[in-house]
Amino acid sequence: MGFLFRSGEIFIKGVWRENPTFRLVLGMCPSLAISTSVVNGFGMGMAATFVLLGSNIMVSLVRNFTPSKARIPIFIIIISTFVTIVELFTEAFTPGLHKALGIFIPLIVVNCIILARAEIFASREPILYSIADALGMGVGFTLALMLISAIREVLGNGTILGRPIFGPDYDPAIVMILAPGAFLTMGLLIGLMNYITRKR
Amino acid sequence: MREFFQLAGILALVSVLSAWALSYTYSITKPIIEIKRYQKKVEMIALVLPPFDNQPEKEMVQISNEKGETVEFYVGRKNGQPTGVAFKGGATGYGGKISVMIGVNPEGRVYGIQILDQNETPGLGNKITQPSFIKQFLTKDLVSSRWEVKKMGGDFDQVTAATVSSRAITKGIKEGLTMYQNNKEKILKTG
Repeated sequence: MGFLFRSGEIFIKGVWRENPTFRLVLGMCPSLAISTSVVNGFGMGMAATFVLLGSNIMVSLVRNFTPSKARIPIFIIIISTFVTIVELFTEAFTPGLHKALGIFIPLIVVNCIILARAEIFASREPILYSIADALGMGVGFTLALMLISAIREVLGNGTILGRPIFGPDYDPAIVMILAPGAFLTMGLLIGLMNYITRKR
Repeated sequence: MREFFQLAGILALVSVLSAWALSYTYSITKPIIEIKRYQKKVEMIALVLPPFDNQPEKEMVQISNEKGETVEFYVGRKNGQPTGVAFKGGATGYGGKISVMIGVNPEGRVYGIQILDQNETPGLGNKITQPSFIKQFLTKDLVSSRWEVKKMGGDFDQVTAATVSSRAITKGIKEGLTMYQNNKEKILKTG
């Protein structure tokens, strides 16, 4: 049962202690750009999680045959293959989400979380742990995006999940929906996270 | 030298496997994507046209403008008489191209408008998709109105703090209407 315990540990680590957005501060481009609504944040998180899962499994499977000199190009081919698969599937089955995520689906290719996990984790660890790592990192990324986008959607647009919450008289703080709002929210959340973890 | 071929061989193998996975995914998703796109188009055409009993998406007339772009006009008919024409228009806004589906009645008055694609700033420019902005164009034609926003001496309200986006829509509709007027006989006769 030791391996189950270790998998759980790896999963929790990705969600909290090594949260990709707040602790590792990786994958900032999509986090800043698409976190304007909770739906977008959730969709981007799920798409990235799927790619991460696929690439971690593949990288872990071929880790013993991967020559170290050619590992980066091999990782990139694997990652971009999964990204293209996600892109085609979202367009076929969830066109609304595909339209909302737009350019950011192809950009998952260069999301450093995915390459970083392939390089740091999946290329050294067995497949089960790599799956736990992918799920932990993916869930951590998704939760972080949903938190940022919930704050920005409520303050900047006066809605949550597209539903108005303040009534018709609320004048939304548009800056929160624009780029500066993304930096503000992200900075404050990272600060808060550092404060909480230091106290322990 | 041996290592060189080994690396190249492994990379080639990975590429071939990846190409296979991609072509397989493409072949199963392509028909679904095409059906979805077609359904979306049919839906949008129906939303901007007056009531009809034919299939406008099948009665299509292609016309090229002076810029060399081809615009497709879809004719809606009831009992064989044309009730309206739908076509795509567009203009460049603040965040790239905005495309709209425009529906007019046979005389060239605007009947319905649907925004198809836009990447305007969320919270500002994307308010052009709101009905309160769109509905001011309905029942207008080229003669009845000056097709500019009020700020520029025209007849239409702009969205506050989004003049570029508002002007783009106005210009796109105007160009579409002009093109329809210039080719009216050809569009209504055929199809």
